[in-house]
Amino acid sequence: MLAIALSAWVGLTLGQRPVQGAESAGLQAHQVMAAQAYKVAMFIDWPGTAFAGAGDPFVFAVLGQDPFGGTLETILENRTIKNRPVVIKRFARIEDVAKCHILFISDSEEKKVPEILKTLRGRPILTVGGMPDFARRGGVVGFVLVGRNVKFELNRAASIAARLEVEARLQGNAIRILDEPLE
Amino acid sequence: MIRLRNISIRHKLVLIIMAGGTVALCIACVAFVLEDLRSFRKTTVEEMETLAGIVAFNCAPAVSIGTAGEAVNILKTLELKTPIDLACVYDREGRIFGKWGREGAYADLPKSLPREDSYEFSGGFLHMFHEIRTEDEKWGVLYIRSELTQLETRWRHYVIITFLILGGSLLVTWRISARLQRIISEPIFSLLESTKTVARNQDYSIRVQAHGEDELGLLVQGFNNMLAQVQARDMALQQAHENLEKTVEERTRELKLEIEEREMAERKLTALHRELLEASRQAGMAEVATGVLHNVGNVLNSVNVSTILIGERLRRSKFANLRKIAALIQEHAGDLNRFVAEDEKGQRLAQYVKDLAAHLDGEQAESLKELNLLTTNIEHIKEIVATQQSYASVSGVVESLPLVDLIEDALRMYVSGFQAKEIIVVREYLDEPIIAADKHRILQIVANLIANAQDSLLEAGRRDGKITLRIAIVGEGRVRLEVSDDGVGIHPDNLTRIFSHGFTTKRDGHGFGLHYGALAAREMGGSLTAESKGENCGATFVLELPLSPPETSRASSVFPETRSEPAGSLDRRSG
Repeated sequence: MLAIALSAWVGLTLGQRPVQGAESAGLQAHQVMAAQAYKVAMFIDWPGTAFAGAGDPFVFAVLGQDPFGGTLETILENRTIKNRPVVIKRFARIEDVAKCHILFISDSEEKKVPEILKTLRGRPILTVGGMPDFARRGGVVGFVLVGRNVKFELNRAASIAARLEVEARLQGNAIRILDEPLE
Repeated sequence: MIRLRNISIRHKLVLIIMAGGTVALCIACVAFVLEDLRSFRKTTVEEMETLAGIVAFNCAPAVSIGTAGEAVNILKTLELKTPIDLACVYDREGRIFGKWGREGAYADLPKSLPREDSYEFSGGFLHMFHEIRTEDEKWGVLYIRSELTQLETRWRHYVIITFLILGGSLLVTWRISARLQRIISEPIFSLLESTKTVARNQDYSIRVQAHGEDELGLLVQGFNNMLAQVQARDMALQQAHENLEKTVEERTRELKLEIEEREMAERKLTALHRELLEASRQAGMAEVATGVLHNVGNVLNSVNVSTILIGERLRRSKFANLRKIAALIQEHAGDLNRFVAEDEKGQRLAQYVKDLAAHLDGEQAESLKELNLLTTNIEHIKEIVATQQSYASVSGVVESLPLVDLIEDALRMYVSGFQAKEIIVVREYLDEPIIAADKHRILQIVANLIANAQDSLLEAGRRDGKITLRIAIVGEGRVRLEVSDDGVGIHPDNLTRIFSHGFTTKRDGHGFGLHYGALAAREMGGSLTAESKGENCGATFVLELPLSPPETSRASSVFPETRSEPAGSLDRRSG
């Protein structure tokens, strides 16, 4: 039921574009993940320093190879987070990562995850990823496929480290809450 | 309503107080209950809204992220709030996302969802709808159903409480009002008792004790004042009554005396009047008798003269010659033819007899003439006497006769007197009307006027006195008779007084004639007036009469029988 709801929402968002049967299940799952990331962000509060001013946009960034196949813009088109317009950025390497608020770490960077997280330590960035054990490894929110549904795990220690305030009402929706700090 | 009007004021007061109290209490209770129920509902709604807000807030991630289990978990927390028995979360397409129902609850979910936050009461439930949203997006709707059993229970309690309060307060009110109504009813009852006593005993000395200065006190004061006034009036009335009785008694006595006096005076007056009337009448009769006798005497003179003349003539008659002739004839009885034919004496005899016859004829004619005069005079005497007799009788019979004859009649009564006194009578009869009247009265008036004129001329000492009699018809059906003389005249002061009873200018007069004349003329519907230019200028008496008598004057007498009236005011005629 949930999956239907989500895919419907995503489908609506992608409405104009015909989905080809050739497209992999991976792409579809990633699209859902993008939507979920957007929803989760609604219940997380960034510290005041994360934004320069009232008109500062909300930056949704992707590190590494874009798993959304260019559909991210469509998904987040005309949307706001924390009443700020969403701006999408793509970084190839951790060194390139500039100011952003959500950073989706692509599966392509799986091997560099510890290094990346270490680099980002202390910065108010919500790190999300779809690779296995992402949250356990130090990411704030890690998406997990349960059957055909996309669920998420939450690493509270990581969120605290990133000075992100996760609302209590969100926590009940995580399939797992971890308190494991980054080594 | 009428029955209410007739019940005692005591019960009325209690009833009024009770009714007022009950109504006030009912209004207060109903208002209180309604307000309480209203505020209870409001509170319930507010409470539910708050609860729905919280639940919706908590459900927002679950709905947006799609974790139905979490949503149901949150809904389950509503179990703690007793009246809530059903809750449901809808996604933004209106599909059921997750629901919770209390065990045994009637799980009938609403068919359609409102567009915004709202609530409604229906079917004994409060239905509450609340949006589930985040700052940026609306994710679904929360529906919470709450039972209203509490409201019903509360309502029932209120009804019971209201009745209890009402009953209790009415009991208390009744007790209090039964006691307090005496404040008003007791003075009224005491007033009532007093009025009853006053009415029963007619005792106005009773006073009611006033209890205060309020309207009842004023009423009592007013009642007392009224009693005082009635008492005062009663006493005054009693006094007045006594006084009146006394006054009436006195007045009655006075009146009785007065009436007696008046009656006596009247009797005296009547007697006096009768005496006076009789005296006047006798005096009048005496005058008439004097006049008549005088006239009769005069006529008797003529009779005497006539008789003497006749006697003289008879004495000086040539009857003796006739005897001589008879003797002569007897002497020559044998040779009468020769005597007549041859004798000188005889030859003259025939002539002589012829002359004697002629003489005797003349003598006889003269005697007859004188005899006729004598007869006339005796007739005249008869007439005078008859007239006098008619004077004496009060005939009152109206008959039609020529006025001129009447006047002449009157004149005849005095004609010899006039002849003797060389008084000239001038007759100016312009009309000769027939008048319907009591001839005796007119005759009496006219005779009196003529006698007065004659007296006036005698008094003036004129030898060539003249009396003018004028008859003329004036106006409609009225005749005017004037008797003028050139005698002593009338002083202007006396012009009206001469008609008064007892007034006279004559030495031997009695003041009755003109008075009678004026009254009689008036009785006949006419008038008698006098005109004179002054003393020694003559006088004219004017008698005006209707040609026919007025209806009312028939059979009325000149003098009323019992009452005396001043001469000038005989307008009122007694019949």
